[in-house]
Amino acid sequence: MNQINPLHIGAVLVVLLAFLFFKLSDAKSSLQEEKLLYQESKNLALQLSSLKEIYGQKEKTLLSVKRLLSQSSIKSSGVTMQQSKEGLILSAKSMNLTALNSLMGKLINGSYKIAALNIERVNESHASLKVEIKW
Amino acid sequence: MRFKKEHAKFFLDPLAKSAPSLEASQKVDLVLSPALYWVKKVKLPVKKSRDVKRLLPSLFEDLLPEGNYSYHAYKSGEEYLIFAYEEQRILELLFKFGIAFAQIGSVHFAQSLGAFLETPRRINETQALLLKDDLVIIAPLAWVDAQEELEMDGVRLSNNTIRLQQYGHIVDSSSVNKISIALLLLAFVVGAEIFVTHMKKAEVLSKKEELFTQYKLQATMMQNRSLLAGYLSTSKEQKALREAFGAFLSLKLQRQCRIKRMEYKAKILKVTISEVTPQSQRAITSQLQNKGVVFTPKLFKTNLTLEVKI
Repeated sequence: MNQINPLHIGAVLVVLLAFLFFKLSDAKSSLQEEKLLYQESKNLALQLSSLKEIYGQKEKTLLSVKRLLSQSSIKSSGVTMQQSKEGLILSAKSMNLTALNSLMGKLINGSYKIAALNIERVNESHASLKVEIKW
Repeated sequence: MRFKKEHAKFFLDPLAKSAPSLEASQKVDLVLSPALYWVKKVKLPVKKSRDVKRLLPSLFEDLLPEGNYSYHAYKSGEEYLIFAYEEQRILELLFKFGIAFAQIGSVHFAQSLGAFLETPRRINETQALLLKDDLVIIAPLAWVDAQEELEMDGVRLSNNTIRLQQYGHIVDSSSVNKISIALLLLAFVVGAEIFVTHMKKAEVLSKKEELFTQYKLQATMMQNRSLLAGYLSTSKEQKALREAFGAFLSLKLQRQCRIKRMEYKAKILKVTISEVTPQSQRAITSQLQNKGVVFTPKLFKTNLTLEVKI
């Protein structure tokens, strides 16, 4: 007849409980971390998505610029478009100021990524234009 | 081939003079002297011994002197034999006789010897063991004719045994059981909580994965943060450029002044205004300052070039 000291059993159970509480605390802080990371990811995703919508749409930018250039007031001013991998370049050797105003107004008010620009007055009513738009 | 070792038998009597001679690892079956317990024969209208055990403390209530008692009962014919004993007293006696707890095989009440007590038997110098009214009792030697000593060899003990609680004096077994059950339940609850927390974490991770798929994010957050930083930088630059354009295009210029050139390259906007006089320069720079534009003016003859870092 030999028995285990109930104090030993109690001690084992207390140690087991302490271990379990530690694991629980660990699990809860890990959950909290993941929740914060998820929230960060969600905020980032929303921001990224909206900015990509504005600046990351190559086809949309191209279509929009083509539409601009097809407008009657701008079409007749001789603006040419060169497309490359990085973006496109609009240029005109001499365009009337009204057409320039109209084009620049649309470019400035639109969400185009203007990388470079050169507008130079040729005479009282005309100016040359070179705009580089990147996507 | 294993042979079953016979346990030694010892009659545990408080007045015994000598201890049993046992080898270190030898087991001993103990027979408790009636001096170590109280016994009653009762008739109870219950079917199971388990139901009797609940009643035992109350059945001995007015009989026992103050102390910490354990109880036992078993059926004998139509009646129940009920016992009350102090474990602490028995353990002290074992210690006195040098019997280790680990050496105890089984523990019986002297009632087990009923069949071997056709005549009274001497148990010590002053007392004898005898069977009276089916109960094994002790009596002074002066009252009975006990010619022989009690011999434990050859005695066959019954299966009615008790289990001594080695640590019963620290805490009683029912308390130990209750505390253990409570701790185990708590451990189970905590374990369940851990499991639920892990499930919740898995759910969050799954939602995060869905998010990455839905918004076509890059594999790592570092890549995504870098991408976002790039777009934010672009957004900031383009906004600043448009603000600067707006400031220049809304300048009120003197009649002779003209914006000759607007050049934007490598994040620097240069605006050249022609036919600028010192007075008109002051007017232009003052307007720009009022609009909060930070610029560097460069005057060459009548051409004023204003540089703004975007």
